[in-house]
Amino acid sequence: MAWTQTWTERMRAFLDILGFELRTHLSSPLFYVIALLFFLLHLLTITQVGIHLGDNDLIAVNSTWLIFRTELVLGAFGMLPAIIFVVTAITRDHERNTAALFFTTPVPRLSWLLGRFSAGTLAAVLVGFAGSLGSLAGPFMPWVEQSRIGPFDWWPYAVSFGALGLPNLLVFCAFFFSIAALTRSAALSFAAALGLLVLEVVVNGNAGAPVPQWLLLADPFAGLPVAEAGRYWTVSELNSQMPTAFLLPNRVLWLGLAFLALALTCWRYRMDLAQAPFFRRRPRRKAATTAPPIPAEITHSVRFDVGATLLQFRSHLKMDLRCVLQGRFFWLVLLLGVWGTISEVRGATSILIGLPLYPVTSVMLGFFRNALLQFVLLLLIYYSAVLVHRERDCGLAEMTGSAPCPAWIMAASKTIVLCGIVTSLLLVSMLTSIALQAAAGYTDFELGLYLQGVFIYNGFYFYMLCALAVFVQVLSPGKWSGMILLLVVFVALLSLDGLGFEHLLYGFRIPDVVYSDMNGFGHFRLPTYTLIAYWSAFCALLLVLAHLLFPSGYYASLRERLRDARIHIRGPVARTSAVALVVFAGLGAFIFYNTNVLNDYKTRESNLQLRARYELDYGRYRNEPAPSFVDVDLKVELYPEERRLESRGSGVLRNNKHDAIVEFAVALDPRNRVNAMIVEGATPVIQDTAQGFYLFSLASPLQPGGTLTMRWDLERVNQGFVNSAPDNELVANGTFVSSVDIMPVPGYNNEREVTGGDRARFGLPPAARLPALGDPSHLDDLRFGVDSRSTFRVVCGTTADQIAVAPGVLKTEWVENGRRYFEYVVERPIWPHVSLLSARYTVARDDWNGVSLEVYHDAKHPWNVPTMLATARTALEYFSREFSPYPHSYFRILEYPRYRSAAKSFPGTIPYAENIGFMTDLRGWAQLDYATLHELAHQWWGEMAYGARMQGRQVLNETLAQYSTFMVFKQYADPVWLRRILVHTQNGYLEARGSEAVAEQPVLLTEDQGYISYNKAALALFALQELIGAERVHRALRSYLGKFAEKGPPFPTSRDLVAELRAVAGPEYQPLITDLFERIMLYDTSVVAAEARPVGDGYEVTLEVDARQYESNGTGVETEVPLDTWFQIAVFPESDRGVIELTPLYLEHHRLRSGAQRITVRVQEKPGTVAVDPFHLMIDRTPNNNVLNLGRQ
Amino acid sequence: MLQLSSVTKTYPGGVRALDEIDLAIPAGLFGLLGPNGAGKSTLMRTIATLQAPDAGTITFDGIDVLRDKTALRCVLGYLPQEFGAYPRTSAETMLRHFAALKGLHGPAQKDVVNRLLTLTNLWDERKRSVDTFSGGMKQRYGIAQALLGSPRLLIVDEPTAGLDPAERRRFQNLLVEVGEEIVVILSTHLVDDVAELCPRLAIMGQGRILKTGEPRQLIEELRGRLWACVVPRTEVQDMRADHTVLSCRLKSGLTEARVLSEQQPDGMTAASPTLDDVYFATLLEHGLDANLD
Repeated sequence: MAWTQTWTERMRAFLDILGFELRTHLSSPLFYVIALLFFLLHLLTITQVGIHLGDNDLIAVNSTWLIFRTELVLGAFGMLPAIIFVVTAITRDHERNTAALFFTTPVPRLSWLLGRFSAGTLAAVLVGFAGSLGSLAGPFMPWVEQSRIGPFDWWPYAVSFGALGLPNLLVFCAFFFSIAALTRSAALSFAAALGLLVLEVVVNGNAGAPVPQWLLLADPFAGLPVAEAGRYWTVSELNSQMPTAFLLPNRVLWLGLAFLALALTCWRYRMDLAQAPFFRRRPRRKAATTAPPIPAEITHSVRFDVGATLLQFRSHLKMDLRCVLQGRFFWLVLLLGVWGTISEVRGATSILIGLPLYPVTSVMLGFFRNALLQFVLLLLIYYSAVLVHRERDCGLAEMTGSAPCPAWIMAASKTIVLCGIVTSLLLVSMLTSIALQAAAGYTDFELGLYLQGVFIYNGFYFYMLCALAVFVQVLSPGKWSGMILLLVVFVALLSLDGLGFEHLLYGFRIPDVVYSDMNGFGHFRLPTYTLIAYWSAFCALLLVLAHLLFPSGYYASLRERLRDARIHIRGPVARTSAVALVVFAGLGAFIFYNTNVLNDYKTRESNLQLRARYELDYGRYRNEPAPSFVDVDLKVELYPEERRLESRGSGVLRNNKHDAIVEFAVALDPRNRVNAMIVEGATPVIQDTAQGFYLFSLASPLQPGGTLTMRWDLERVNQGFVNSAPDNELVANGTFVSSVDIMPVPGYNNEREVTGGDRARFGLPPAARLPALGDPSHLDDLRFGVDSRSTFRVVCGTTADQIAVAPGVLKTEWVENGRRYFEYVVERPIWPHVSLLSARYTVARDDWNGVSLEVYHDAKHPWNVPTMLATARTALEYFSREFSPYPHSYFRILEYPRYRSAAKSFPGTIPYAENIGFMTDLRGWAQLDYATLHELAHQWWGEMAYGARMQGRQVLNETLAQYSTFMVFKQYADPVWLRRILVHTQNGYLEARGSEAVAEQPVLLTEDQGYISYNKAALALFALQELIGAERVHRALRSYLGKFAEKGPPFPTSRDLVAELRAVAGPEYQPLITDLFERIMLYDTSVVAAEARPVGDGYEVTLEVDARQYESNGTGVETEVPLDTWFQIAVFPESDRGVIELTPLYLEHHRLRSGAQRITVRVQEKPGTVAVDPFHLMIDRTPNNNVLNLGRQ
Repeated sequence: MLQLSSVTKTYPGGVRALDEIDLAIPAGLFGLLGPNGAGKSTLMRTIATLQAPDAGTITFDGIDVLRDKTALRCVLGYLPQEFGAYPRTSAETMLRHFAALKGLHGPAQKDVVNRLLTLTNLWDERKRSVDTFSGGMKQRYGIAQALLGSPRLLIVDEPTAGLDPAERRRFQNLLVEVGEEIVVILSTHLVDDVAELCPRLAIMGQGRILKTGEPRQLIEELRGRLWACVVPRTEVQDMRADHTVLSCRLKSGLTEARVLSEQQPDGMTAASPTLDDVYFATLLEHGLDANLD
């Protein structure tokens, strides 16, 4: 029949339908609400309100990067209008029974189908366009700082919409339309939406560097290709260039799939009322015709007592459950939940070098909130709308309304089913997690912990959302508006904290907590349980309201329902509400008492304000001279169960400057309560306890070399619980405090100042940068103005079952009054900054050359202890031989809870977080622990010699520590491990350049920029070592140590180190040293072509190598400069493994120059791959083209 | 006995859906006749406790319906004009669910549901999903649902619209059987149903009760005032101008006009009044003459 119509007729029909549908969409208020929502979402996101995409101030609000990122992050929301306009275009007829009317008209099938589709898609695209307009309007908003607005260019907005927003919407619309048309089910479209989300999470989660090409195609939202294109971009590139390099194949693929889906629909869709084309089931067998049983006497007892009510409730519950369990959506979501959990767990690695963690239950618990929250929200949005409006949508409202069941059955049944859905998701995730543990061979499941962590600490939050969802749906007029309203409510709730509304009393959430194997749920238990009870009462009130306002019977307006509700407030309803109200108010008062009365409630903003005030009021004391400790006697009484400590002591301060000191500042962490603080011969002029700033004026000036004594009596107390940012250092098991936090420190504390982009808000000038390299006034300046070492004695008292550890030799240990006391005294003067830890430790001991090796760890984490001890022995051996003798008679590693994830270096002592060192799975790794090496190296680079406080100082600490780590791996492990580390190191540098907020510096001048000192500089030093040999480099390092180790001011600078290197390197390497350390150089080498031919009993390999060198400025703008330096040229045997795992047939340095050159080498075996700089020693933004496979060119 | 007094409901916008309705309905079948838009469904819903009136009282056997909704619902059976069922759910499951909601549990529940399935001839289809039922089967399912729990007040709203003659006959038999001892309100615009089934009726229009009484008695009132004649279709218009035309019926292709008049008009013969005539006369009397052609 379709063929008898002409093309013009079909076109006209198509346009008619398109016009009608579009007009219908555009005349519905829903359209404008969603368009406005999109506009606002884009606007607020790009101007950094609430969601923070780019905290780097150098990245403009209208930079291409931020435009693209905003489009990507909000891309998922685009699925909503796609569903609402496009899916309803097809399912509307079947739901409203108008299908028969349409299907009997002579409208051509394709015109009808494509007309509906096009109208819905156009509506969705218009909404997406509204979003882009929101991004466009961003820079014009009054709250955006002028400095973050770049020159206006509309082209990036057009490209981001055209390449990201528009194709995404087309893909969504095509997929969802096809699914809805072929299955006649809106629920399956939802499932498809969820599937796309999960695919995106999985793809992005598994994308380590380098990203394989095929993975770039798999991301339906094109997030991965954009991220990959901009991975190594610098700030100037992020501001101006468009990351579209890898977009085209991805877009072509997905648009192609969309087109295919649409074509499939056009082919298979039939305008009839038969079963959905995809689900034509076999006709069911007729039920066996048995004669109905005829009961003798009909005596039916009709019961309406309490028991009967419960049975009524049970029947209703059964019906609601059937709704969920019958649908395919639910099972699909469970499946996706499993998949999402697996992906999240697999993608989680140690933050150090990406090693996997042991699948300890405490680690697994950390995934639940993140992995599940979005699924729960989506499930709730969908199912709450479907369930609450179900009776009305099925035409059952009148029948159910005239049945004599109590009104609360409805609200209760829906809520319980929703909670059941959430519970099944949690259960399935938990079982998946357990399965993953078992699959990895770990069987200590700790089921009790799972149940607590999953259902109480996470589950309860989700149950709260169920109650809220039911309440919101009760207020909504229909299914779709209910979904939108609930989405808006959820987004608003999630944004509260980011917008500065941080108080627990109105946050409607149970904050996520960290579970530590050492400390359990610890101090988080009280606030969590309090909040659970508090919000339970609130949810009870919500449910009472939902019950009272539930739309039953003939659908009444909200006003009528409010009127009716008043009649219902009696008896049990009133009593329940009263109880809930009392509990709510009571607990609210208790929470307020804890957060605002016992403790100080400060929002993040007010905290920043306080710190800004510190600088505004006392910044003038920043560079004023202060005396330094030469002797410290610290007594600490630790009460871990109460989370309280007392600090008493005295210190001798000496004036090491050249002038007399008349007054000096003292800093004290404001968390301490001061009982007494006395400086002999001085009176306190300023005592700002809130800021922890004190100014002492001396009766008579302290002459250079003169000393005085300072005494203190402090207490640090934790009472009740705080609103946010609790004290995680002082805990029941695993206390770790630094001495500088519990005793007064002379000088102004510049680490209290506000950093970065927040400064402008408070009227602060841009942050003072580190003093220039070589500034003579700072050559005697370390941290906090410290300029001398000090003897240190610590006496620490703790509970009888814990061990307290501080740097120093353990002189005495005793028990007094049921408490245990330890006395530590350092063997030689140290920088006056020590660590103090106390926990129920198990101690492992070993010995190297008279040095006592000790590992203090939690009994549950023994796995890596032997490796740590072995690493310590190896490193001590190597460092003592290559650099200088180890200065202490002990070396201690101490475990502390995972509230902070770091390893820090103190004299002979390394506190090491549980989830970094002790839970990393080292079984597949070399038998060397990375962090132990690094921190042990700090005993030389940082302890013995510490850089003066100026540019480049971090090089002397971190770079040398990293370099030392590399060298131990090189000496004692299979080469593949070091190569992996080097690749990881260069990647870290290149990725971080784009986040530079001020200006990138050359190594010599680095201003504590971690990605330079930890990554680039270490790589540079190692590259130099590969070229001139370890013997020469270490001679330089020994010379450096000889000049500066354990000596007083002037302290070393980066220039001193580079001078030592220059002294040992020959004249031909001086330009290279300049390039590596004093300028920002990037290289671009590639093997253009290569060939091998057999010659004699071996092969001759010829490579065409192209090499270029670029110098970069602080924001990443590059200019080409002539290249004349050495690169490793390598030839590898044939293999299907990566070159990193192969032993090279040939590996030598060759001198390369700018442009193309030909290199010829000889090898014995058949070559498979050739490479220039295969192990990433020289900074190269495109390392992929450094390697060329001979067979595949 | 169901008593309504001064029941009034005004929708926002000023439309008076119910205007001072007074009715007294004893046990037995009671017909409520009226054109579409008369307010029948609103009245049915109001009695069935689904809508609250703005004014007035409703009592049933001592129950103050407006105050104690649950008490009425315990003895109520309601078959709405439009209804549906949960998708992919069998008739038996739906009926058992409603039986539970109406206070029937355990073996009593099973017995009652089985009996009703048999009574409404749905026993063989009991496992089939309700959304695959034909129109007639769906109506039968609806009445089975309404009869659960032995209601003492049964409200059926437009129950026979869409049924074939045989099904309609069956449905009527069912109503008669059930309606002997309980109050059954049959709300419909099909005069035949009321004529055949109901010993009492009321005619409703524009929210008001226009006439109540027994069919026989109402028909007698028209005796001697009803006249009929055959006219060509083209002359109907002229007819209207001269006489009070109640209705024009088609009989074997010819148009028969029925006229109300105290005296015999020229060319017309006396006709025997039916309930249809009563219906149209009442509507005409109150100025509501919709679609008499």
